[in-house]
Amino acid sequence: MNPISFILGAPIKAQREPQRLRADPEELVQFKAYYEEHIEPLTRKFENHRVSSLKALRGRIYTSLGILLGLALLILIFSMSGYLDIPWVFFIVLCLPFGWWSYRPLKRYKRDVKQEVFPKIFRYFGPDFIFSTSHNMSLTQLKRSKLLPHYDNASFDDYVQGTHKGVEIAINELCLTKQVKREKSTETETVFRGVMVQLSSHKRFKGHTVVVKNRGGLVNFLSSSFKSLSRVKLEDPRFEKQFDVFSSDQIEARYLLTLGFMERLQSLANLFSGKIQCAFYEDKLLIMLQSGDNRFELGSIFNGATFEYEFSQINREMKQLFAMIEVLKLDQNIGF
Amino acid sequence: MEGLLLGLGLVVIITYLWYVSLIKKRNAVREALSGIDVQLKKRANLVPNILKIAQKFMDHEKSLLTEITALRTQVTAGYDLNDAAAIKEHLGLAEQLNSKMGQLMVSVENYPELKSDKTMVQAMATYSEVEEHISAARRFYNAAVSELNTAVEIFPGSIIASMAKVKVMPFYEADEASKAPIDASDYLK
Repeated sequence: MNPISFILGAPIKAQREPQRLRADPEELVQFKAYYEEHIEPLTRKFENHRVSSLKALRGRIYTSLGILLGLALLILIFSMSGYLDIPWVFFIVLCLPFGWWSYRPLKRYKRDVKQEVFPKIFRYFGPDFIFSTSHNMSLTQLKRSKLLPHYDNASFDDYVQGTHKGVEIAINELCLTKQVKREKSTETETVFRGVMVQLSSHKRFKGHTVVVKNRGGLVNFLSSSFKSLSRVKLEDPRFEKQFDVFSSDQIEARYLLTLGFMERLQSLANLFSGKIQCAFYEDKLLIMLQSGDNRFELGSIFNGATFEYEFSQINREMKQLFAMIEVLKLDQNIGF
Repeated sequence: MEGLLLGLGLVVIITYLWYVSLIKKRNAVREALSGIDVQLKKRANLVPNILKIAQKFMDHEKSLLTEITALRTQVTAGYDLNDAAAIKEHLGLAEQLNSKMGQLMVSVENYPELKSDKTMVQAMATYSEVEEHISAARRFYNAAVSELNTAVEIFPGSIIASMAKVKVMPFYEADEASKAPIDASDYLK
């Protein structure tokens, strides 16, 4: 089913056919076992919920369309007879509450999935993993990373927290906007939309190192600093082409940015299909993944509520993060 | 006449800016060198601990342990920061110590009791961490030296450098043993 056939009245049926769980072959058995024990029992309940939500949605769309068409017809008749002169913009405004009312069953379904299913998905990575739509990272701490662009307003979305090999992980969706004055009006411009990933480290970082998107040769020629940090020229031309590195400790920057780390960073960026920047500071690694995608969301509502796609996708993303912890040896507590 | 004075003024300004850039580059090399020394000092402080633990178990490696002790003393001794030859010798000794410590780490494999000793395991992990820091410091130093040497060797930088007594600096090179090609058959016996 697709949105058009749905509107045109295609039958809404429960789908019990499983899709496929995807994970590395060596992990697949454990992955399936967890799914069968913790997530699969919820699928029947949520499939019924999904079907009833879709039915309610379609019913409300039909009702709304009927009411709106009737109103449009009345407005047309009265305006043609000269009794009424309502601008058509008013009619568009009238559509908004109907749209909100129609979408409510779907919104409720998505909220319920996030409250009941997603925490169970994340608990697969460890008993202390939590998923919340209301928790936030500390903005003051994020600002200290020196990575955040200038912004006027910040809004957070889904939040994940847990530990892997003793390393604390926090993930939060973030949107930063600023007000831009145009000739006649002030507009809101998005300066960052994406995911913030914060990893704690058992190692101590003496300095502050940031990896930012390449600023271009001319900018680098004119300025070799970035927010009071000095430029670190690395030997890898491929990495240099994509990123600029700035640090308060040249040696530590070179120690942290090994070939293995750079590759992991790239594959993480590819996986999140976004632009990546990161900062090592205050014994933490902050990764900023700019991406238009809304993360930790449900797949298509027209697919059965098996949650296999969501589970597999989240597992892939989390495994990349865990691999990065291992590459950086953030979990090791070594001498100094 | 005015044109000549203007030209002369420009030459003086350019020469001065060139001189400033050379001195900045030389200072960057010195900063990088001090970074290496900080890491070498950390390693030097670690070596006696490793030797102390190793001595308890390694009866047949006495000469290696003595050599390491002697090298450690030489590496920690001072040297002339303005003398390229002295710097080269200092870095060479550091690499020799690295090579000998590498041999010691391989020898540890032959002593199961030592290999499983908790303090030795911790010391070896810390040592490997210091090695990674030394490697990072070496990359920073070599990048700074490369910039300085290019500036010193290319005309007219060479003239200004000789007037300002700024000289080329030696690279921190890996020792011959680690540069030698690996013969796989040695490991596949």
